[in-house]
Formats: sequence, structure tokens, C-alpha cells
Amino acid sequence: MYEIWLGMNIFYELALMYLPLLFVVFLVWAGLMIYAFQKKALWSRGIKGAIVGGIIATAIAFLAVPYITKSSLGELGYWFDYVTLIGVAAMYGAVAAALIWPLSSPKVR
Amino acid sequence: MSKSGKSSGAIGLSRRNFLIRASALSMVTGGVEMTAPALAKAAIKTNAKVVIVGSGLGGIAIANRLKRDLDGVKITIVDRKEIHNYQPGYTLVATGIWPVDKVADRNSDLQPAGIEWVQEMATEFNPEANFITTDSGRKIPYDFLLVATGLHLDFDKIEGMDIKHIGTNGLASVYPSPQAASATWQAMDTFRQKGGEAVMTLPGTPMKCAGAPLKMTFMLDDRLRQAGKRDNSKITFHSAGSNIFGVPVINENVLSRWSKLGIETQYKSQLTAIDIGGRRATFIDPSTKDKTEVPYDFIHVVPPMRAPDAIKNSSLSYQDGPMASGGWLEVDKFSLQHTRFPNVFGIGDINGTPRGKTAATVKKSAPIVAQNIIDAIEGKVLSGDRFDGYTSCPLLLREGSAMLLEFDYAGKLTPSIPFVEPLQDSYFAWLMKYRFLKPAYISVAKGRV
Repeated sequence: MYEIWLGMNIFYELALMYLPLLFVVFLVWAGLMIYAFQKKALWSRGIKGAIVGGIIATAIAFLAVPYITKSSLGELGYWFDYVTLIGVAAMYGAVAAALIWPLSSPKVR
Repeated sequence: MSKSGKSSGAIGLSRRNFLIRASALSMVTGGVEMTAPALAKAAIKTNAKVVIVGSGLGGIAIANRLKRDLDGVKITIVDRKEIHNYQPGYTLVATGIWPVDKVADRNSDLQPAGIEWVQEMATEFNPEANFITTDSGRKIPYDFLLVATGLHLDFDKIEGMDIKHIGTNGLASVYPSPQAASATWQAMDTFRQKGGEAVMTLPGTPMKCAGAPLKMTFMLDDRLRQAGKRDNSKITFHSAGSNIFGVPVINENVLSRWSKLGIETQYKSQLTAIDIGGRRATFIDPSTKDKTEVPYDFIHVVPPMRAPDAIKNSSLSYQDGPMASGGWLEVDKFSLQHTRFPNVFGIGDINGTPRGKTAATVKKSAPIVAQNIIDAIEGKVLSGDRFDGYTSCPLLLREGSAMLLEFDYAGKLTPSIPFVEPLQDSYFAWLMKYRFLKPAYISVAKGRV
């Protein structure tokens, strides 16, 4: 329980550190969502594209994050390293999916 | 100077900045805010006056906790420094991983609102009469005292040593300051271009972040290999004691790794003098007093450490026993309450406890000390958990890999996450050190974890 609380606090403080970037991403996402709503997007038909985009982004992040953090894939020593990296990469994937969803959903008008 | 009264200038801007950031983050996170479970507790009413000497991680963490949990408490922090240095980041700066600006924050951004901040240094402690004296001669009375001064780096014990020269003539030391850490990287970077004789040192006193000298050694080896200069270089680690780390299983693991890397060790070899211009270091065997002079191209100096004079010369320090020579604060190792003055508590590096002079120690002990102070204020029996001496050391092995070592007073490995293999080379441990531990540190300072 304590480790979960600690983890939440770590991500909260990280978010504060990168707030300008997060804010820009949020604005872009909000803009895309408003645009898609106005065009009456068919959301259910856009999910597949969002998932595929998210998976691709996760894969790219899996390969790139070790290098961004001054390490390398060769330094993944045991299974917990892989779980950690997959978790971090999946967060990038989730953000990518959220951005792609309004774009991949066909518009009625 | 009352912090609550500082509504203009840098502090005012900082608060406005904070409010803007908090509002924006709240929008991004859908209004979710980080609220500690403890906030649900009703604050206890008191008019107690608590003086906290030192505004490092321990002092600020306790100030935030007491301010949150006690209604009406008068907290005074005594410390001149305005910059809060993230010391766990020094080894990353000193090995070229982080830029130096990543380890500096403002103390005013971390302290709670509504406290008094006396920007002076404590020079005398008078626990018999419950007051301290600052370097301006001001006497500050207290009902309860938290000693969080940190420790003193005793470079004066090394003849010829001058920290102003760190970064030149192959002289390195990660400990004194962010600037020294940055200069240490300059010295290491210059050295690795050519290679040569490297000398690493370890004093015989209790010390903060006892893993740092080992990290510096591992990283020097790695930097030399990256530059292709390891084969024409020699690294020798001089320990003043009979080991390189106090926890036997870690000691053996590191020595095994060093053996494979070709790093040599010298025991009972204590640095006593240095000729900076001539690049020669003098070591002494503490038991036989035999002297050895060693030439070097690069040296990493780790000074002996002790309590600051104000504590060492006061009745708060150990009066006898193994901790007396360093003047460490005499506290019960489980409650961190002073053993002779029950209204005095200690946290962090100053404590004369068997282990634990790291930020991780503060992380684990701050909630215990805060609870014990609250109990003492209420006149109750101390109810904080027994502090087990927890400390942690993400031991850098090379660029991109580390071991996440956690252990207690008994030297037992105590991994927080059951899946983590403490003695395994790990990207996870590296990532913790590189990216996640500073946010954790800030959370500790704010009294949330």
C-alpha cells in the first residue's frame, strides 16, 4: 500500500516537473476531441486505429526509453527490468492512443 | 523573518507559480489532488514551540508534517542556506550523467507556510535551559527541539587539502557541493582522455552516503572503458578500515565485481595528506602509523566526517562510547529521541546511530520522528514505529545499470518491492536513480510519504 502511495507521489511530482509539456499535450488532445465532437465522429470505428497506434507507440517507446534515460536495451538484466520498461512504454502508448483516437474516428460531416 | 509574511519578491512569485502549476495540473489530472491519508486526521491543538535546526531533507520533512498535524504549533527553522541541494544527485553530476542545475532547489519552495525561518546558523545548544544561540548572538527558546543539522566534512584532517582546487590537477571529491561535483566530472573527464593512476579513498569515520565512493569507483572504471583507456590505467581503492562497505553481503559482492574489473583494494590505508600540485597522496596505516606516499593522476577524496562543532561541543553529543569522538547526537536508535533530553529529537546525518546517513533513512524515519514529537507534545508515550535503521543505496555499476540496495541496522537486505533482486545488475535500479528518486525525495520533503 505504501509503495502504491509512493508511486502516485512520484508521478505527481514528475507531472509538476514537466507541467508545461503536459499542458501542451492536454491542449492538443482537447482540441482534437472538440474537433471530433463537432464533426460527429464515429468513435467506435476509431478505436482500432487508436489501439494500433498505441501499440506502435509502445513499441517505439520500448526501444527508445532506455537510450533516452542514458542506458540501453542490453542493460535489461532480469524480468523486472522488462516489466518496468513495458510499463513506462505503455504510458507513452496510452498517450499516443488518446491523441490518435479522435483522428482515427471517421467523421459524419 | 516570518515565512508567512514573505508575500512579495521571489517567494510571492514562487507561490503564484505554484498556484498556476497546481491549477493546471488539476485540469490535466481531472481535479485529482495528492492528499495524504493522514490529512483526514483532525489536527491536534497545541501552542508548543518547536525549533528545527537545519533545513535539509529531514528538517523540512518534519516541519511539513508537524505543520499539517498540529493546529497552532509555532515552528522555527534555523538555517541560513537558501538553496536546497539534492545531494543524492551529486554522483550523477560528478560522473557526467546529470547537469548540475538538476540538484538545486529553493528551500523556500519546500518549507510549509506559516513558519518562522531564522536565516542564521546555530552556534550553541543549551538543552538544560531549552534554548539555542545563533551566530548573531540571538537566543531562541523552545519547548521541543529537532536537530537536523547534517554533518561536517572534515577536510582539515587531510593536510594540504583545499576544496577550491577540486577539478584541477586530477583532484576530485563529490561531497562538498554541487559545484564540487561538477568540477569532479571535469577532473574525471580530463583524466579519462589519457588514463593513468587513479586513487580512490574511504575514511574510517561514519559517513553519509557510504555508497558514493563505490559508485565513483565503478563509474570511473566505466568512463575509462568508454574512452578506451582502461587498459593503460590502474584504479586502487584505499580504505581506512578493513572493508569497503559495512554490510558484509554487499561488501563481498562489490569486491567480487571489482576483482573482475581489475580494481585493486588497499586496507588500513587512510588518507592523511595531499600535495595537490605534485599529485602525491600520503596514506597512513591507522594501527601501525606506517606512512606510504602514492603518486596519482586522478584522486577522489572522501573526507573524514563528524558532527558540526555546535553539536560536538554541546551536551547533546555522546559523552562516551564509539560515537563520542565524532560528537554525534546521542539518540535512541529506535525512537530517535535524545537519550538524556526527552524534548530533543534528531533526524538525518547528525544522529549517532549504527547506520543510515542517506535520504532514504530520512524517508523512513521522518514519519516516526514526527509522530514521536507529536506524542511528546501531547504528553503521551511515544507511539511511532520502531525505526529499523532502513537505508537505501542505488549503487551505480556503470552508465545505464545499478543495484538497488536496501538494508537495516542489522545489515539485512530489505527490498521494498519483493520482486526486486538487490544484488542484480538492473535497468530498473538505474531508472529509479536517474528519473524517479528525485520526485520521491521532493514528496518526502513535503511530508507526504
